[in-house]
Amino acid sequence: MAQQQNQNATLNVVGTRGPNIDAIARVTGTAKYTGDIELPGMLHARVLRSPHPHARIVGIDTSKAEALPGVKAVITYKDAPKLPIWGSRQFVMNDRVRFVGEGFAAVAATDLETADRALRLIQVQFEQLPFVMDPEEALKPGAPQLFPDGNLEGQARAVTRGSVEQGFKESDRVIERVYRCPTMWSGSMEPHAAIALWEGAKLTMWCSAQSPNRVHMNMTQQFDLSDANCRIISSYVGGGFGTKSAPHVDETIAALLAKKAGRPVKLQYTREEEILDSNTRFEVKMYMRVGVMKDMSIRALDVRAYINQGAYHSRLGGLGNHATHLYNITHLRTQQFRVHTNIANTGPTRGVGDPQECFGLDSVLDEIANEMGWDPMAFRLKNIKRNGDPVPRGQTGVEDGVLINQGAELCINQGAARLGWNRRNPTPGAGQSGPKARGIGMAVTERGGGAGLAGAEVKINLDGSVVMSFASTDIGTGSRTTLSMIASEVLGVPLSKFLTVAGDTEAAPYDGGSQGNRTLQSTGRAVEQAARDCLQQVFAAAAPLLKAMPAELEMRDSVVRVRGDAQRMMALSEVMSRRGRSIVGDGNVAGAQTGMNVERTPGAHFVEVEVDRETGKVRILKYVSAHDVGQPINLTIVENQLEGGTIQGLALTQAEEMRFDPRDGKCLNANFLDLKPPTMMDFDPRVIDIIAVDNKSAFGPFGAKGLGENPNHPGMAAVANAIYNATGVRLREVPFTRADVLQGLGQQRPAAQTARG
Amino acid sequence: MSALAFVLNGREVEIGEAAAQTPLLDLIREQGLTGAKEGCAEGECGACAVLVVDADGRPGKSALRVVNSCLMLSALAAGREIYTVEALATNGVLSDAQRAMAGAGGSQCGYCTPGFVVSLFAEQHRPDRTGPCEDEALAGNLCRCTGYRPIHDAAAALGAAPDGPLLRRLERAAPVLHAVSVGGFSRPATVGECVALLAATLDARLVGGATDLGVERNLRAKTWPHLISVEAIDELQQFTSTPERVLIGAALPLREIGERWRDAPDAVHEWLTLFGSPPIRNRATLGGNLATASPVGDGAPLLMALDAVLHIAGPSGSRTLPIAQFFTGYRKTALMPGEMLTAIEIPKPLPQSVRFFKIAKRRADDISTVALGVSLDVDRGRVRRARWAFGGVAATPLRVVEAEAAVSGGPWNADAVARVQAVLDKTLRPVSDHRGSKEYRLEVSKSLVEKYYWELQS
Repeated sequence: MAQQQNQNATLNVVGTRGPNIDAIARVTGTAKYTGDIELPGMLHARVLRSPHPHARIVGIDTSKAEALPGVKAVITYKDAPKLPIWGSRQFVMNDRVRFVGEGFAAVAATDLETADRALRLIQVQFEQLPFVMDPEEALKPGAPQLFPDGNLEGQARAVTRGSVEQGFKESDRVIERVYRCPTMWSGSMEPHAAIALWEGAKLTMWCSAQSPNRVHMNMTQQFDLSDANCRIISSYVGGGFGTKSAPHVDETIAALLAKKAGRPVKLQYTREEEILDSNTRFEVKMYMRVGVMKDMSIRALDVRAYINQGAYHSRLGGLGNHATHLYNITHLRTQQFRVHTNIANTGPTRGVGDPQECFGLDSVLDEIANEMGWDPMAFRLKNIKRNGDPVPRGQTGVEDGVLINQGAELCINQGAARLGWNRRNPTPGAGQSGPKARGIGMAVTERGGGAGLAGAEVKINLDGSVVMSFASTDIGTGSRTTLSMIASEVLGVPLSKFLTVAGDTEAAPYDGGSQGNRTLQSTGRAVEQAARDCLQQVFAAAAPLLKAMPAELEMRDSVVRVRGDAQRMMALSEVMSRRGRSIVGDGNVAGAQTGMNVERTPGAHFVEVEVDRETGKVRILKYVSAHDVGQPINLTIVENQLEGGTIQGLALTQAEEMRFDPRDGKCLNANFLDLKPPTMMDFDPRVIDIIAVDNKSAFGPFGAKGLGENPNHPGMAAVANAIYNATGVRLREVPFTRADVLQGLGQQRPAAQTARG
Repeated sequence: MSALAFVLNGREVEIGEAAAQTPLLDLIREQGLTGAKEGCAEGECGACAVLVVDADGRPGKSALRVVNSCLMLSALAAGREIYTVEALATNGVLSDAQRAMAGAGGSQCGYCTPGFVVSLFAEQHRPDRTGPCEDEALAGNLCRCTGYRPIHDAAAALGAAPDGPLLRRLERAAPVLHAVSVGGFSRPATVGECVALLAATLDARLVGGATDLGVERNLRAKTWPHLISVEAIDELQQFTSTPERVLIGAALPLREIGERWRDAPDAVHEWLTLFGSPPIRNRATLGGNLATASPVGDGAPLLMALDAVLHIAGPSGSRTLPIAQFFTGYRKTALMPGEMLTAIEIPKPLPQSVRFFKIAKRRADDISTVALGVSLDVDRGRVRRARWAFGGVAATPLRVVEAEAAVSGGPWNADAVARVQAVLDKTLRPVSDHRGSKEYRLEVSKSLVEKYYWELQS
């Protein structure tokens, strides 16, 4: 399992392939996730959840639960701190519940069965309130109100450039369409879990979080702790995808119970709880109007989006920045209404609204291209932003920056060539005979990365081994490995000498955490800085020993050498043992991108589908996922990330919609059997083709770009466009069920269901 | 070893009566073996997968079967030999499956990884494997990170199982399941004892592989005053095939039906595969599937198309019943109190043509939206016998006799298809739920008849 030889002469480690450095712990089952940790005297917790979508709690009696042998603590909304969870408007528990599954009381007991029994002994009187589940309905006068200030979260987020009405007047053709992505489950294999341990005034918490420091901030606020009196540890995290990117109620509930019981408490969600209460992918309904000129340019785009935040949001939703950062559009307006309703709480998932925006925008662009008789790819290439094009530096319409290192065109061209875009029949549904119809589609995405503060600490031990600590986490993105590879490259110490301490707020400097394509660029730069700091200290220690100046030294394979002198060298372990003190280097960096230059991370997907006209089944024949990845740090990890994200995006085309019963607001499919995440048999992995477009970043360590989110975006739009190309059926709502396809075909051919003879 | 104990990674573990209905997964994790994890508690994700040493077709030898330990109630492990992911590396050397998963990058967040490793290890050690490890062997494990290609690569990289303690273990027979009788749990050894137990314990519930019961336990917090496991009854594990009939023991796991009915029509093998994932097929039984009487159960439609006859034992002796008369209402059967299914008989000769169609959202391991079992005999251009049996279109599995009459005696052509579809329009009464609307269920039922017709033509 040695790292393979690097292609790039100047780099020894970065750019190679190889297994994750923690792979052995994972394949042997010894990696300890939060739920695997046992503490002496630890209690187990369960949460009592609302069966109603909207209700006021008018009475609660916990006395019977408290009297049950084995129960060590019972808490209700009355015990909860009166502070919103960091970054959101949700309180930990409330006397008013706003979605089915909202917790309002909890029990800690010696075992889970006792805790379950205790929950059933808590008597509650609800005053049921009218509820609303649709974001547009929720904005109408007279709609049930979730909060004193209404259902609309803040002001509509608006971006305006030029005048869209003027633009539509000038356009040669204008179309208007509506697209919808429902609330979708976006959770991971490991449900939320938290263990709270109080030692005097100090709280130590193990939890399944992407950003331990965000949890740290929330805990210090909720319990009025000093930073030093709070330690958050998220060592092994079984996936996150955004659902664990913000503090969550489970952490505070565990800490409240532990405080009351005077014993450590573990709270691990069941799968059902995880589906109902994990800040899942929000619903977006998009009204899109686009106007084009005969020369294929986009004259105007008007987007009105309703974002269904559910009862609460972990972070505010919205659309991505595709309209502003991906295409040159003369007149642009986007209005985004973030609306609270009585369904499950939501948050960002592998992009903040990027997959949803991609579905709407790339669908409407495909629709107008088809209406105009244009090749959809040529249409995109005509309008795509290229290096030197003006681009906003922030999330506004003002194009105050300059785009650099843009790989969109590279991704489109390479992806199209790999799929064979030129095989595409320009006439939808044409030339098809028999029950199977084939078609080709594409979609383009982009996202930024590397934002916020990051830190890392690198320590060289007396034997020359290296311990690297950082407070961002490895949620399956391989960051323990890639961050170690960056330090390994800088130091000249082989990876086998590395041990990582991930996700520990006490062991490592502040870091924003692992979300938003940021870990590799931001924590990566901190690691690079910390490693360089160490290297200088190693050279300072070795210089007198080797009778050389520090500037003359270099290190390879853990041996310090005098450049150009094959005789003078000393093993790092010897330098360290002679020094007699370990070396610690630290790195602390602010946001990666500075100045006028703006760098984005684009990608393009191409797909060929086969549609069975009799059952409505859509099969993917070939799928190409081409992404600008900057300088790959570990190619194995890059490819696996791109593939995994691509499949997760494709899963949205066929299932994973969370469905809520309009009569009682309950989720109808809060289990794996009915959510149907894909198995190994659903998408033949061999039909997925990955292109990692090497397009170095000006900001990331060694030119790396973060890429975890992007492959998740274009699947829905690319497949919808391919289904249209195959059949002439345009699907504007995901997922694309067989029933939807059959219905579309039925509208084309009223006699579709009769037997042919 | 005590009556209620099992061997875990070579070490005896006492279950204890109080834990008889506790998921085996919890018991394993209490031993400090935390590789197996709870991902769903419904047998869907395989994060809890462990290996059971089980009888094999080779006399005196054994095989490793992957099971979902979240669904296996602990008492069902009594007398068994079980291995977890922690037992697969020997003396610090990774097993092939572990090395391949690590090398291919088949583990990202890693939460599902121990389950995949266990499934892959069992597949590599499958005694009748001749080709490469099959992806289907991993269909009972969910991964959210990888997209499965690296895992496929890991599977494809494995050759023959190398020598090792577990391979050598398979050269010896699996433990014989002994009779157990403790408070709240019994495992009788004969049908007679079982019937007597049922008569004596009115609130007893029969349990086969517990793939359904385990879900009730975990998701609906159900417990039972008394469980009677049928796994130690030899008669219920039988399989015989004669020129007159095939007889399948009601407690024979689905996997074994496929292994032992080698010359079964392709439709039967497809049916067994579509039933559920490998860990489910390693435990689930036809008896359990029929007795739970789910309207979307996959067992009934094909068995109805094959005119299966059910063998029933009870306090007043044995009887047989055509399967078409077995389902009496939503989740209700013709079984009288104290009765149990003992075998499923399929008469021969088998129909000339038999097919099973399952419409579900996912290719593997899913619940049917609509299922169709169909069989057809055509003599000199005339339909002699046809069976159309649906799941998911009514409160019970439904054999549509009117549709059979509509084609009987006539030619098998497009007009016949249209007549069947016309009957379906009038007789099927599907309901709308989150798996599909009633309109869709009706349309797809009719489409399947047409699909069957076109398949036969080609």
